[in-house]
Amino acid sequence: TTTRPPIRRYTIASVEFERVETPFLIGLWIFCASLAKIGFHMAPSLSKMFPESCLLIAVGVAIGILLFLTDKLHVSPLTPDTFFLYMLPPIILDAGYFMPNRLFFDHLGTILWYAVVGTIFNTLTIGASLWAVGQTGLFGCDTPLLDMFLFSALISAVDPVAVLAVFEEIHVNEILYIVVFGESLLNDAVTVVLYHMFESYTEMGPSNILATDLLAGFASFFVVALGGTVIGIIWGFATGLVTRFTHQVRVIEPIFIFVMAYLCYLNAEIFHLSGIMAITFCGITMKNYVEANISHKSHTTVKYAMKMLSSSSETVIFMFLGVATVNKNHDWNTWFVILTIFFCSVFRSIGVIVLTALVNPFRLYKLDRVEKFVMSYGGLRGAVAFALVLLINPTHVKLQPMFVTTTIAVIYFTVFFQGITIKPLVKILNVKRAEKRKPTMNERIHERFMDHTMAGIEDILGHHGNHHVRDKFKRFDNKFIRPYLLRDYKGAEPKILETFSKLTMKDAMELMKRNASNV
Amino acid sequence: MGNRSSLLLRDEEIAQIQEETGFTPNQIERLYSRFTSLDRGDCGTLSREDFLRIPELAINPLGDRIVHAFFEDGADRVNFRQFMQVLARFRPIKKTKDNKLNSREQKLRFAFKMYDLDNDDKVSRDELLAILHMMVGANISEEQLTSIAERTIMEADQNGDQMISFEEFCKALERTDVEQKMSIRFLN
Repeated sequence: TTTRPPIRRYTIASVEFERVETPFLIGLWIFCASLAKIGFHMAPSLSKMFPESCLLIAVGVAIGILLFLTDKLHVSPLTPDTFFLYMLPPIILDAGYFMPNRLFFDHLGTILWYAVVGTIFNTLTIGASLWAVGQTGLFGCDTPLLDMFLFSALISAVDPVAVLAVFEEIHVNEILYIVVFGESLLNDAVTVVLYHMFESYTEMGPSNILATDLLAGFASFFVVALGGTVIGIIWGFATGLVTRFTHQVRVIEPIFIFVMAYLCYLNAEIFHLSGIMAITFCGITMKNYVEANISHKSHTTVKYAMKMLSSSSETVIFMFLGVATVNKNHDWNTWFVILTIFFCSVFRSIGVIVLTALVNPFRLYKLDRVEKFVMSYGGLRGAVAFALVLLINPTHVKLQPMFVTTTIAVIYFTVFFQGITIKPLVKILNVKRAEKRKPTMNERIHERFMDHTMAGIEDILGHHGNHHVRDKFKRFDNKFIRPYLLRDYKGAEPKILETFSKLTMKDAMELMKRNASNV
Repeated sequence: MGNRSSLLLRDEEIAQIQEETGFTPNQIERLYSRFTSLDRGDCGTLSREDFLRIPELAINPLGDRIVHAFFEDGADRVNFRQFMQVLARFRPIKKTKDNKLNSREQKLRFAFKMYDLDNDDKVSRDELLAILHMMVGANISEEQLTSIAERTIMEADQNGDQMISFEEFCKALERTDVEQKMSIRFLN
């Protein structure tokens, strides 16, 4: 006979934390971050002085210290994977979907110029300068050239999350905003390539690098950037096509937009292409077609869900940055930190000045001195740099702990010092401010009218500028794309109709409100 | 072609056009060579057909109106100086120099004239409707276009005459960056 296990009496209540630990902690983090956010808005004097991102980092540090002192669990919630796979995509999708397309494409040349050439310039100059200073022995440690370049590749990229968080609050004029913000989105392609390139070079060892490896790095830039863009555009069109058939099942319309954009991001990441560029262009592409297909209510849902997801991810990222600061593995090197911050600021300004001087002759709207200053000053570093520095393998790169500490220092410097001072500076320098509003019927019609006129004038001049290209695309779109992706194709000027229906809707609502109060 | 055109354009003419329009001599020569290449009949002036031979312009919904704007009342040919005076309206505004033809008001005036076909200094409902027809195309119902036109006029009209005068037109666009929207970077 087998011995039966002792009978466990039925308990009234029991504790089993392990089973829910992960989702519970995630929920708790989001809850804390959101509570902190409410807190700032209840203290208006605080949020007037500091950008929200600074306050969130501060709260994060406080929580980090608490966790550190209680020595509870060694939490490092901000791992590269959670960052790149879960926290970054919502922010970038939001940015791409609500991108002012017109503005973005009008200034695309300038944006690409800063994003590509500017980032390469910063990486090379910062890396080389740090290495040169390292040769004098000031840092007290060995500083191999390739390690320095790996570090400068991740530190020189302007961060879309930080830029958005700070610039959303200060409302600079739209051209300045789109240039800085567009740069931060599109420089991801350069950062990804330079990072992976220098990473594999450090693994190979400097003596084994051939000229072909350098050429391969150059070629891979085009693959990463164009590949990411193409994947984004394809998924964008696919989303448009799918939503063409959703009119029977309105409730699932928003999910297609989110899931397909997310798949697009992951799809690009599978091939080590630029996920940020993919999801940006996916958002830009799909909006044109999706908005016409889905119902008004679904559109509202998409809008608010996207805003909510992106703002909560942003909140959590900044808080996690604060929490991650508090740990035992710091390797503080005063000179290295100071010089990195110094080189980052100096080369950012030099880069902006030189690149602007080169690009201004080709621009209708010249970027002036004040704008150049805000551009170089608004080059904030953020969580992308932090996630990338955590990805460095310490067995290949002995200086990794020092890099982590320095990256955190640079992020703190840019987010705190530059983030806090930029608001008063924009006021003192009298930067043109933006005003956001919906266009009136007159503006919509007359502005389209002017576009057609300018396209016509460009054709008369035989000079193929923005208007000409836009006109060509619009014609192509109206003939070959819209009829297939839209369920209810309404002819050439959807924007005029859209403005009209929005305005009449608004009128009707106001009329109803007025009448309701009369009753 | 470039050589021939600079031979045909005398220096004093260039200086005169420069004075009138604010273009640089290089830009004038460049535009002159474009002018001669559009001028199929080699007669020193352009006709409406010369303009409409440009393929993109022919399919531009406002092509006819744009071409029309180059011709003075009743004229059916335009010479190089008139051509340049129209184009000068699209020069970017420079804060430091005085801007005659390319001021904001002139730019708006140009757009307004394109709407105002009968030259009575007012845009009527029918004039607006005609433009909307050209831009929006055929897929849309007549009633909807009419209600869009009516709404647009109602929004801009301040004195209640159911028309948009030039002042009302400027008022309706006061927040639009006309300086940017109606400027082109002319190549040197």
